[in-house]
Amino acid sequence: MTEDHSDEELLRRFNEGDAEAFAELVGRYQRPLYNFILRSVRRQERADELLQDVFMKVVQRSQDFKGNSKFSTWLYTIARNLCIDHSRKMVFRRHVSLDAPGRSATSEEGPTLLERTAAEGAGPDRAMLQADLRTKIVDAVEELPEEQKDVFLMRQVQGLAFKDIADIVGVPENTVKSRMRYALERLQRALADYADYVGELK
Amino acid sequence: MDCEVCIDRIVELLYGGLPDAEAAATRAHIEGCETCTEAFEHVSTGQKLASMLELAEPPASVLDSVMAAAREKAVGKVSVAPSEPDRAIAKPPREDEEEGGLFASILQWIGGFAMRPQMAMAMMLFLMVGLGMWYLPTLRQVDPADSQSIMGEAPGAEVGPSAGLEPATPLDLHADPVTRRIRPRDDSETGARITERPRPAPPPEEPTLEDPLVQEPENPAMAAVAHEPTPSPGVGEVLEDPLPDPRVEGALYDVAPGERMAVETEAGGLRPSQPRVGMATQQTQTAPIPSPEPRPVAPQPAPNQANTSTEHYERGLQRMRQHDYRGATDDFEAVVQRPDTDARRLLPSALHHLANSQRSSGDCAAAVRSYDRLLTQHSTYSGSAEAMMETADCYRRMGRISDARRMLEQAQTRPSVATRARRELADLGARERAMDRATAAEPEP
Repeated sequence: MTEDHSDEELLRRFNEGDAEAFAELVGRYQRPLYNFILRSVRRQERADELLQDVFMKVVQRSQDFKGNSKFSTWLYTIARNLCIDHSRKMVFRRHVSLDAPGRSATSEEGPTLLERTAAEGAGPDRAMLQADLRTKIVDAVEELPEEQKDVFLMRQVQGLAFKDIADIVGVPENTVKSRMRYALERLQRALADYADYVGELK
Repeated sequence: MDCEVCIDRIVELLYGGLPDAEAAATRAHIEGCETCTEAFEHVSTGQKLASMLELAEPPASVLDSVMAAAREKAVGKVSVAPSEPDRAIAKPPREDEEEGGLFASILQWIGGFAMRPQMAMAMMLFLMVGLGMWYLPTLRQVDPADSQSIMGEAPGAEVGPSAGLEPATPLDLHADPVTRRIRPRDDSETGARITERPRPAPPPEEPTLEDPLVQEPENPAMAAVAHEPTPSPGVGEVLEDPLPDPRVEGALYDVAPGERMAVETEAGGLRPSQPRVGMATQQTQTAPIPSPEPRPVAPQPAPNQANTSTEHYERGLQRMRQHDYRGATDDFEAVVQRPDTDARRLLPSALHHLANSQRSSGDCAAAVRSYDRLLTQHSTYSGSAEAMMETADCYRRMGRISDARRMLEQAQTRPSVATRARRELADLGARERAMDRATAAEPEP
């Protein structure tokens, strides 16, 4: 079995002809990587294509990986570069999508679920509250500035170390930590209405 | 520990990246400080919200083609491995390979290799590079006749030297080294004395501070021009560009075709010379020609007046010399925040001076941000090694030992500061061990 092998070892085995080693690698990274891409490009069909592109590049260029950095660093560098290329192509469409209906609810669009249920005098339905909150968390994450979102997703979704994220993004480690802090503060501000609910979570 | 340091450590505290001693110190500060408590709660709430982010599953079919490609590649690897002939997917040897022998196999290898798109592109690239290297020396052999025809017919009597061009035909001419006027040897007329445009004043010497930021300018003429204050209106000359391109500056002095020069008449006044056929002028003189005196330098701005980036920069340096670090910080911040051309040119040095002035005035947190920006945005800056050492010093003063260590490890890779960095690292290690011993010796509360 290949469970105990490092990512770099699995890639080396793939280069020697072990397709199952590559399947193991895909299994480890496909879900977090997909979410990194999905939250970056904000369109599922495009995220599907980009996920495929990323792993296809890994297949095609596996011999180029020399082991000077971690495999995760290499993989996310490829993913980030593809997302950046996509963003540049979609720059005009992105403005349209921001104006399209169905974006995050703002205060101008009426009371939140929390406010409505509180006003009605009944205790908030926790299941509905949680579902509403989860949707808003996704919206808030997608609304983060690109540089903060990259750091946030790599840390939160993939669990990369700040040092590795710094290598991927090309900034000092302290800058990465600052961006992470700004991202978390933004989330807290965007979802301040749910502070009481979140405070109950342990 | 001050609040800025504590706030910078909150993320590491929440994500478990702080050494125990620093984590304990940070928590202790948070408990005793309302501002940091609030900041900690905000970030902590954000972290809880982040943990609730739902992860989507990629569609199962998305990676089917990827896995198929991976298997194909793996199969290709297996088939060329002669040491594993018993693999089920290994291809049997072709019959013609056995008949043709070594020569046929070589031909087959070349054919298979050459058909790859990457190989074709690489060969095209080599071809282009080779052609370029062969053709480039040919282009450099300038035919004076060809260049003369480009410039237009020069008058027979005078052929002025132009930068980069050989004289077409050796003529019996006399060149005055002072005025650089060329005339035939038998010319008896006094002629007009060309008044040279006075050269700009030599640049003021940049003082050497504790942290000298000596940047060798690529072109000394550019440096000389860079330090010259922008001429104020009314001097009498209308310059299209306040910072003339030094590459063509020589043309302003040479009597090149198409050039207008200030020609002193016998009566003492000046008149523009007759334009020559050929190149357009770099400088347009539409105002009356001033008298042949050194161009007056614009008066130095009063201490409380600095308008241009250069003026702010020089005033900042002056204030550093006077140990007015806060004033210097204001001046260098003014340079850094300006979007004009001067500021862009001065930006790396200004950032470095800004960081140093902040450090000297005790604001290490701000200094670290400035150093960070300098090292991030100007990685090829000549003083970056020194900046790394200064950043490490700031971290050490702020108690951020791990960050100081990291910066010194980076500085170790720079030859100019490698020895100092190693020494600082050794000192840092000794200091940490002393702290550990002191912490271990503290009695339990």
